[in-house]
Amino acid sequence: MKIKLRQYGEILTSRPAGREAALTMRAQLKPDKKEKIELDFEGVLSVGPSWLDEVLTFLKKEFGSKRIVCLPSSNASVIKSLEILENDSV
Amino acid sequence: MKTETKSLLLKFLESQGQARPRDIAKHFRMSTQAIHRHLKTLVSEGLLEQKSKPPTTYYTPADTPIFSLAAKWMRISKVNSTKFKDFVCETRDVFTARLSRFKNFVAEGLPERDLPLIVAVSGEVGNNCYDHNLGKWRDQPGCWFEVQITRHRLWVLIGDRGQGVLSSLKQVDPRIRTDRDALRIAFEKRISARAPERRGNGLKFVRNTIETHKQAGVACASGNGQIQYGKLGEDCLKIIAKNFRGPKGTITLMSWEIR
Repeated sequence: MKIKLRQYGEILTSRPAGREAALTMRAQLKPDKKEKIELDFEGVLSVGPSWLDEVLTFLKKEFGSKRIVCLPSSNASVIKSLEILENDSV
Repeated sequence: MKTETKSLLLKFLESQGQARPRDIAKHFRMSTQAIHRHLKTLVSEGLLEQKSKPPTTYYTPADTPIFSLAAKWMRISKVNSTKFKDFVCETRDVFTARLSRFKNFVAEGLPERDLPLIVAVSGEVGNNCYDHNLGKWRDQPGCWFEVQITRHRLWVLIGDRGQGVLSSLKQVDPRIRTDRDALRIAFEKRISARAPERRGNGLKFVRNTIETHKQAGVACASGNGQIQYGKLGEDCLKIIAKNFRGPKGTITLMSWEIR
């Protein structure tokens, strides 16, 4: 199933906003047992690592890290935020 | 003689930051017509910029933003004036909403490809003001958020009247002694003043993004500490040093070459 992140705002910044988005996702998502959860950044103007960290950490804990997929995006803020979060988790 | 006047005029504007033709004429005891001639030449040579703030026109050295109002806000002992309201974001919601103002600068030359990253790094710096100072503001809550465009550059200034970086990070690591060490750790190490929460990558993201951009810079000052990164970092630091001496809170200036 796909989560359209544009639904959570055009500018995705700050941890409190990320946490709120994650809680809303938990309430709304009803994926099948092994279904992948895809994050779609289409239409998002900018995303910061703090917001993304809150959402990814929460979703991975809830559904397992293998089921969470960030769809490819040409948005430089998405690429850079994912890069810094990946380096952090190493 | 003419060259000497122009060089004196440049020096005068560098020391003043900005000035109106009438005031320049008065200072040099010259006619306003003669001053206008010199100013026009200096603008065409790319050494000065003409800016309008109705009803007056004033001149500044090229690529030099004016942050006199922000400097006043950081300096005064008690903030109770409404003249700062356009730049002060008392809450995080106001700050986030104002981030979308960056879109307006695309029409003024900000490349669209840089927009997402500029919004993201500004968001991280601004949100840090709230993360580290909630419940600890010295007086006025919130951050100062100002964006300016000069001939070739975009400037983003974010400051707060909070507790400062050293005081914030000392709560996690009491071994940190100086403002400068606190700033270096904030930008280079993964440490969070809100431990045990897993935080602390925001300023690393800012530094990394700016250092890998071909023409960008950031400088930050808090207390007696200053730090800078990126190719334009030194320029940012010079402007901070000129306008904000030993800020009690934190002040960050970022710059991006846009044309």
